[in-house]
Amino acid sequence: MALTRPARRVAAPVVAVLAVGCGGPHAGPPPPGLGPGPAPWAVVVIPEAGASAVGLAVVVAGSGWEDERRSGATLLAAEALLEESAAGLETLGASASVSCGRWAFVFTVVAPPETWRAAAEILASGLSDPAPTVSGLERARARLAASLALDRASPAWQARLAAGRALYGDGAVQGRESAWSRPGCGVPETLPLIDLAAVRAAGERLGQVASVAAVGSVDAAAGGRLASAFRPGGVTAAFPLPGRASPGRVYVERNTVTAWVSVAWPYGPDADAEAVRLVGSLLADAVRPGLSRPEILHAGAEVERHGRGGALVVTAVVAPERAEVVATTLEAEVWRLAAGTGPEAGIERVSRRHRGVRLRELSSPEARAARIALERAAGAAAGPWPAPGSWTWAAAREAARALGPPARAVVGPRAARAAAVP
Amino acid sequence: MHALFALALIAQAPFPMDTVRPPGGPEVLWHRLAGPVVALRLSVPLHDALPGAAEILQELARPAATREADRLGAAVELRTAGDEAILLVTGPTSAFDALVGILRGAVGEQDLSIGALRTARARAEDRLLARLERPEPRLRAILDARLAGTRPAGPGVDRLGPEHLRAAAARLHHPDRLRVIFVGDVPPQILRSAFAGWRRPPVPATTPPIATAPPLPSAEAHHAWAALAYPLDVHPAVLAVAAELVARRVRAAGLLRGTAEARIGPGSQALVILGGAPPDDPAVAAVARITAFPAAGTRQDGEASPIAHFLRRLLAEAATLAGPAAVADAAAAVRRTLLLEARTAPGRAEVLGRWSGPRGARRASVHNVLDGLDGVTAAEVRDALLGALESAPVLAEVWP
Repeated sequence: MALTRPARRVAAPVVAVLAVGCGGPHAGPPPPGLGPGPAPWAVVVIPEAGASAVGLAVVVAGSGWEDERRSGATLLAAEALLEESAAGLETLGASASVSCGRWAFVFTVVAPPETWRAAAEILASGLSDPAPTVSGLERARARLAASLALDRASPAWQARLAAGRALYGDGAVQGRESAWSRPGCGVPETLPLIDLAAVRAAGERLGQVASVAAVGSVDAAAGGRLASAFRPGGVTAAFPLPGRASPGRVYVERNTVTAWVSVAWPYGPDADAEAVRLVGSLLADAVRPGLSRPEILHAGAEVERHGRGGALVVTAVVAPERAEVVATTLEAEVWRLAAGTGPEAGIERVSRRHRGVRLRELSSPEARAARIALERAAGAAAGPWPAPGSWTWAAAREAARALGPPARAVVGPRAARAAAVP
Repeated sequence: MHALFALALIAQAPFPMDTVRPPGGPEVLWHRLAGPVVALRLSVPLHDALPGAAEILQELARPAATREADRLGAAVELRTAGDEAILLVTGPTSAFDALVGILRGAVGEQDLSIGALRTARARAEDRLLARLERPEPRLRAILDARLAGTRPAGPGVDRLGPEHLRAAAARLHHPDRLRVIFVGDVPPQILRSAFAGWRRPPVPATTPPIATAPPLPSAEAHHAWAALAYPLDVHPAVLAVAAELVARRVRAAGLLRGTAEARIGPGSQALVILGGAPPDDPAVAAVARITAFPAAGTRQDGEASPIAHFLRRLLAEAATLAGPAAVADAAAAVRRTLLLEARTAPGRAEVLGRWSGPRGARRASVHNVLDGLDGVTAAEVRDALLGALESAPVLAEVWP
């Protein structure tokens, strides 16, 4: 049963409950047709004994609202905000950055204990009253143009884009081209065309804060101050959500020596996101390069989060004629995990490595704050560290069962085409 | 309740450490940090080491250390910096025993077969030559060697045979010489037993003579570079603040990758200033020489380069700008930088290790630095900088 509450001015957190299917390894995400809904509002403060700094994370609405002509406007607005804030943060010994996505952007700030509140105020002020200057905007644009140009030339970026199209579709959704099939962080072609007015409009959307988390050398009473600073008017954030549920296949022809094969599975909001990450590691391990698999050069997994759950994307770089076999292997491995009856040595081995890597990824307070804030924005509770139960074979089995039907994307020469287009 | 907790946080001294002395093992400095991640930093002083030996020993240890770290999802870093060889391991607390095993293995007996040695020498030489090719790391390597009274390691590591390496390992990896900084949440009795009884590497009966090392290759530089190291016998907090003030002057001067830093090592502490500029940079060329460069700090021809003079002038400017407000601001900046770097387990292990001086009564520690920052006066910093100006620095230069 799906419940959505209309957006309205509230002081208390608002939670959107979405439908989730049951049973089988392809339980599936919610049905299509649901529009953007309100995201929960949460402030989490976690004091940590012995901490020497504060990590602050603020989750705001992502770039899924952008139309094709303004692709990149949200990121440009975010980077311009950081440009304007940089000098003030530097005097406090603090620094800030932003990560971009179609569903959400996450601002993170790292600051010493004695100045973190002032640093938070600077960010809050920038989000609530964005006023980019021309010079700040142009500096941000120049920096982004360089990185987007590099991305554009990268087959990894092409593969990510193709996976998005396969998962979220190219077709019109509610009368608009789906932003979820476009990159969440802009493209070089539109960046020069985005003017100050468009950046200001995008900047106003950045003020739609869904959640804030502070971890480290903080006191619990700081929660009230953060709530006031980041959402003084009590406006409920409205986040873009993907509209498509059924998987597709995409082939992009590139005259390359290798092929990039991506298989992507959607998952719903009830899935254990940390266990889904473990499944990603297990799948990547199943096709990892080795003496017995000389045709595979690289394999890796990514998890994209959004308000309806998210997507697990596993990408392998392979010899083109082996693309179909690798894609089939990945899909079969999900079935095998979902049907698992007990712990296996292989799962224990990968889980041990995955746990160590994941803990190191979260070893900074700002990384833990970002994880908490993102999970809270998605309506899930999360502590600073993942629960060890998320790294068991049973958790991996349940996560595999929660994955929806897979989408496939292949970028490479025609020898790899059959993996995407039967 | 929350107010009391906050007060407790404020009142707690930063980074308290205890010393654990496991029988037959290295010195272990333990800092408790709650959380599921631990970091172990093993350091080996190199002040009397054969140049290149430490690098080869690290490359011999790297394959096994990396394999084991990968199995655990841990990270391992092997490098030489200043006059220390460092091994930094970061991983889950639940794998503590295995992480200690990585350290033991790295300083234990290594495979000195022909194949393993050939590979290790090649990797070590690549590392050393890469360091000498680029101006900034080359200058640091030369300064480190001159401060230690040795020669920088470079080409010719194939002169070091198995017996030389066994002798080097026996000396360098003796448990009494090793120091481990442990950051994490493991009880001290577990630490004591985990680090007890480290095997002393076997000492070879004889060590053949070693051929003279070939000369260092020239550097590829498009600009003129210089680095000055001023040994300073001052409180480490004073050194840290002085370095911050000089660094600000260097940054404002717009030099190529100019920097100034406090260098604390097992054998010495010094203020290091480094920077580069185009050979015909008018600002550098126009610098009026304040006084003659102290003789011991010059090149062979008795003249220091214009860029060395320019860096020395920046030092003088920093001394004149060392007023109370500037010193207080610099002290706050040093504190913030240290606190931010120490926000993760490996970062904290690095901070604690980098600011630990030699064993003994008079030794630097990050506690000395953090505790002393509030008390650093403008007069102390000015005196330190003026004293440096009057002394002969250790000088290294690179020309295009």
